[in-house]
Amino acid sequence: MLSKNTRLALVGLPNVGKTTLFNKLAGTYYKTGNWSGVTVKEHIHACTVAGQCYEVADLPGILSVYDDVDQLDSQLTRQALSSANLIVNVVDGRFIHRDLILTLQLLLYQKPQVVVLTHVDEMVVSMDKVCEAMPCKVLTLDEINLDMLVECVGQVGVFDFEQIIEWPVGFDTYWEQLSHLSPLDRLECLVTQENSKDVQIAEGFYQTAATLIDRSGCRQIKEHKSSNIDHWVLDKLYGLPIFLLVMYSVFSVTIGIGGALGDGVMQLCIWFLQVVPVDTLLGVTVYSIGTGFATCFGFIPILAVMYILLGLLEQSGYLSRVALLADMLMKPIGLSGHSFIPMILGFGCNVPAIMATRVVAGKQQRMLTALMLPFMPCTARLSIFAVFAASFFPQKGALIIMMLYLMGIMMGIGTTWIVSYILGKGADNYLSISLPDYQVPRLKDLMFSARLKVIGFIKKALPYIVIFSGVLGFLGVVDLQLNIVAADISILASVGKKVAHLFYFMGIGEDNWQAVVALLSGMVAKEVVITTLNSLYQISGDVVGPLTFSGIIWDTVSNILAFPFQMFFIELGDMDGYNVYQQYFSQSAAFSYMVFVLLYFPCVSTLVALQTEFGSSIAAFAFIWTTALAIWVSKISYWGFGVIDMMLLCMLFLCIRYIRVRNDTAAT
Amino acid sequence: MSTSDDVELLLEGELYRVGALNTKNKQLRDYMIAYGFIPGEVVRVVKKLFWGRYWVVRVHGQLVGLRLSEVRILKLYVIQEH
Repeated sequence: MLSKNTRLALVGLPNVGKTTLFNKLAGTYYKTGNWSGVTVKEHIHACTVAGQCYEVADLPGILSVYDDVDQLDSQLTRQALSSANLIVNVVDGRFIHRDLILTLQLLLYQKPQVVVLTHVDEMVVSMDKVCEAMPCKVLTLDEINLDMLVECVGQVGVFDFEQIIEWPVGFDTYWEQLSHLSPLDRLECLVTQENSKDVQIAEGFYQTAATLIDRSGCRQIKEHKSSNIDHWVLDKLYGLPIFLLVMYSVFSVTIGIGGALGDGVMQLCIWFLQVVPVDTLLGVTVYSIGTGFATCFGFIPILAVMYILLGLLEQSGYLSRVALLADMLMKPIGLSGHSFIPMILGFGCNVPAIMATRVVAGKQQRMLTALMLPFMPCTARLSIFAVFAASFFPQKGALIIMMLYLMGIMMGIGTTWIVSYILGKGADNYLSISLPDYQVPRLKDLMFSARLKVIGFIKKALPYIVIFSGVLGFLGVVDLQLNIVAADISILASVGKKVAHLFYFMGIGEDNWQAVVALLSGMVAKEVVITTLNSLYQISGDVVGPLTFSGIIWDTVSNILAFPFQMFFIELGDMDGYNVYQQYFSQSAAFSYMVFVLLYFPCVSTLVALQTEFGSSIAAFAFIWTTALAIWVSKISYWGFGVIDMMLLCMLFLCIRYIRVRNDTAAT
Repeated sequence: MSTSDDVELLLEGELYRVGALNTKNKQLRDYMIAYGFIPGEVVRVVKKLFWGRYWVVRVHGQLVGLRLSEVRILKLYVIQEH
């Protein structure tokens, strides 16, 4: 008799293709990638077949069923497995021997199990031999569908692991002594006891797998082509420069091509907006909302290019190599190269990056990794940098942006160093990272993934943008009696001017109160900053010159065509739409503003993610620390490093030292 | 069988056998076992990085990146020809 909801759990080693199978079964599009730890939480697809409710669960990858690795994602998988009705073991066809060991371990759950083979086209052994080696029913990714799996629920029985697994000589005694426990509890007991039997248990599974593999004749392993690429990307001399070059190319292409396209899209939107009369309250409000839409649509090409390029890195298998290279950087602050992958994901959006910390082993290491992430410039901040870089640093825009990214990374690492120094040495961390084979990214997947992310961005940002643009447009032209007045005596201008003097430390005065209002609006979502600035500066045809459709298209195409020649001469296309910024900022104030945007207050979504994963105190610390650091560093960027800064630095060191000594004293 | 304590003498491209899991760190042992580094298993040293501080080895057909300290706990030894 089946339970009310029958659960089919997709499980396997990391990076074998579980989410690809899940997407095929459920018709969804969850993120896939060529590195361990893409899936960090359970995805559920509920469906009804012949009146019976089924739940298909995509689980994070696990290395074994009984180890004690302190990773949240592994713990989650083991919990989910215990409630499964059918275990769907996903096996990478290229590494049958390796994956068979987990298949054998899963038999200990004493639940029906089927094997689904992925990467079948790259297998070097025949399907018949694989079916002979596997102790349960084998299907392939190409042939499988939900109906076939549902059929398996009733048909597949539980396999007797005692008949299959051959324990090392002498181990049976220990095993029989615990016969009153379930097989999994027996394993856990034998592994965790003082004289751990972990190696004997591992040998049992490995030897059984080897016997099955040899008996069926599928020991061959496909030769790998990775070594030639790894020869260069993991070279002691070229490895780091290649990584920097790759990241520079990502930013350069994003800003060069994405920026040129974005500018074209924005100008086209403004060209359409020229028909809106701006001499009435309604007209001004509609125009402001229209400007908000124009700015939002202008971001889309920048984001799409960035997401495609980051997807390219994720799917190629290069990210794991980067983690290996970055380990040397992370080790002194008590972390491993594993923490570097969430940092790179943070370049897309900080929220999934915080979720990705679940793959980091150790509670303190996870928390330290998460504290670095608000400093990683997400695509929302990139859109702000793109505009300012194009306006103020057209000759070296990509370099400035790259410098800001490196500054973000260094600030994150510095923060982690301080916190880990205060907290003291946590648990030992280790690297041991799997380096998957390189693969050619599938263009279809890249485009689809980028499209979903862009739609996600629009869904998230557009409501804020419309509301902020409308409210700001309205408040920007009325006084307290709701009469239409000149912009510089409106409600918004009055409030903005009163607050603006607080931002004198970064070169912003009363004459640029709009920049302060934009920063305050950016606390909700960074996407709103440029929209607010554009609304308040009223970027329009009057400011940027008369717009013509053919002129806009010509400018956009010529900027894109010129990009390959400009890429390494670091010259950005002329983004006319943003030249108005030069009337409000000096070059140094613009740079200081960019630094402030880089570091200040993580957006509300990031804070909520931090609070959910690590608690309120960590979220509060991130809020206060990032903002304080933003004020200090942007002040130094504008005014330079002075005596007061030196005193502040000394005080900071003394405080850190004091807290550390106090903690040590309390501990002893 | 000649066990080499000085792992720096081990060469790129050569096959070695895992001699032991010489660590009391439970989590690291579990990690190593899960990757397939159990005593007796054969590994190939694929590459050494940063003057030997990091190693890339192949075990069970997959590449694994390790710190030198992690390589040391495997007690790799040269496979003798018979």
